[in-house]
Amino acid sequence: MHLTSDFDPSTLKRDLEALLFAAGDPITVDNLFQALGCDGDDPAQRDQVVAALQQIETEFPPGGERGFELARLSGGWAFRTNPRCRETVAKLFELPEDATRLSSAAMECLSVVAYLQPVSRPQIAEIRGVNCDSPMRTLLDRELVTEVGRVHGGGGALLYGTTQRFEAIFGLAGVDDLPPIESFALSEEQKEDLRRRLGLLTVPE
Amino acid sequence: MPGESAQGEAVLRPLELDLEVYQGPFDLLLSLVLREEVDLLEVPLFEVITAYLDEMEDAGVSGYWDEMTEFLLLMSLLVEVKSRLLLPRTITDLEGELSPEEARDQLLACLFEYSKYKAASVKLRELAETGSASLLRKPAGQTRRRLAAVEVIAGTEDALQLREHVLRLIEVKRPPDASHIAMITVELRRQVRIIRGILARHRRFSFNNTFGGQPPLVQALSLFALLDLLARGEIRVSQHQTFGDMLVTAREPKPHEKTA
Repeated sequence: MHLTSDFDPSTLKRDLEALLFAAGDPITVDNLFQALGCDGDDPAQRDQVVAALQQIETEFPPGGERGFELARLSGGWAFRTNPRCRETVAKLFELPEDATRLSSAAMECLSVVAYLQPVSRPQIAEIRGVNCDSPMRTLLDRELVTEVGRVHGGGGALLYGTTQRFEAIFGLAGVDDLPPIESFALSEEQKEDLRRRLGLLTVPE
Repeated sequence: MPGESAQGEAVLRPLELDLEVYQGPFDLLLSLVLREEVDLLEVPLFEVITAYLDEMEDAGVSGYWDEMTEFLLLMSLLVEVKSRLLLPRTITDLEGELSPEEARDQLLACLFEYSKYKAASVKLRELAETGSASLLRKPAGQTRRRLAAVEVIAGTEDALQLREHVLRLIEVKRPPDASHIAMITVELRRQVRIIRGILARHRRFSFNNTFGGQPPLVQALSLFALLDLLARGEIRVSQHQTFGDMLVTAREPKPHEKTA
């Protein structure tokens, strides 16, 4: 199919649904353009495809009344079962890997990598104040983080970033979908409490 | 203030510490101060250390150096911070060491920074709970993408990988459509009839002149037809040189053959 300015919207929607259904895993908008023979540089055509996707999303909204929903995951779009059907689906099928079973140490390392990527193990250890080799091995084994490069100079420590699998498992459209890290900062009151209880409120003379 | 007696003397209150649940020195400090609301002066470090050593010995893991060094790091930091609180504040700093102000600022900065990622990890766990409730559809069978993703093609610098993508794209799964190719209908019996017809009209013919321009399959079956007619005694075939042209001549049946 090749899009023209007078394409049939229902045909476009039908083709998009077929592609999303066949893909299974999240499929990017660029990949959808490619399959539809759409010129990705043409703003009008991009708008038409995105509008059709949003229409499908309206029909299959996340957490809606349908058994499956169209979700924005890992930089793309994917049909997935409605989380509200979890118990029923779990009776017949194995649900995805439960990342909630990760240890607290692994989850802390993962949050550092997610927000600071690319980041090295020494940087993670510095933030946590403790060695992170073991939890990082777990995250690598479970393909939630991956090596993305090396630090220039100074021994060239490996740098890590999160994977698409991480975004899919945590239901993220991308790492930009995470809440800003500053939203997790301690309140001024908590900081003051911390200073007082550690005896650090006044400067030693 | 908790841990303060009626006479106003500071006393150590019993503190239950499960060291396994802390993820490092910053985690321990934050937990003690913010969640347990304990002043550092109240933490009995000696008891914590002996309890930990007993725990390790009982578990038979005293040789686990990673855990031991992490614990050492954790305790040394607590000892340092607590010492600063207990020692006279007029003590002269050692050369090369951080000034008390610097040490204070550094520790607080570390705690503030760590606390953000600690809280973010709790949020991640919540997201994981939601994410694990949905199932993505697995494509049936071994469906493979024929058209490689744009980012895969654009990002590759590996010629072999690119070759794989191209091969997959041109790979033909269905039987080829040969409807535009004319079917060649040829069979041995028909070739025998044709050769008999030629011989009836001309008595002899050159194989190359008659079948040389035909497709290879027709030539092959014409040769089989000649062998068949030879076996029946209807023709004679002469060839002056190996792989040369063959002259085919009709053979007159002998009188006894006619009778038969």
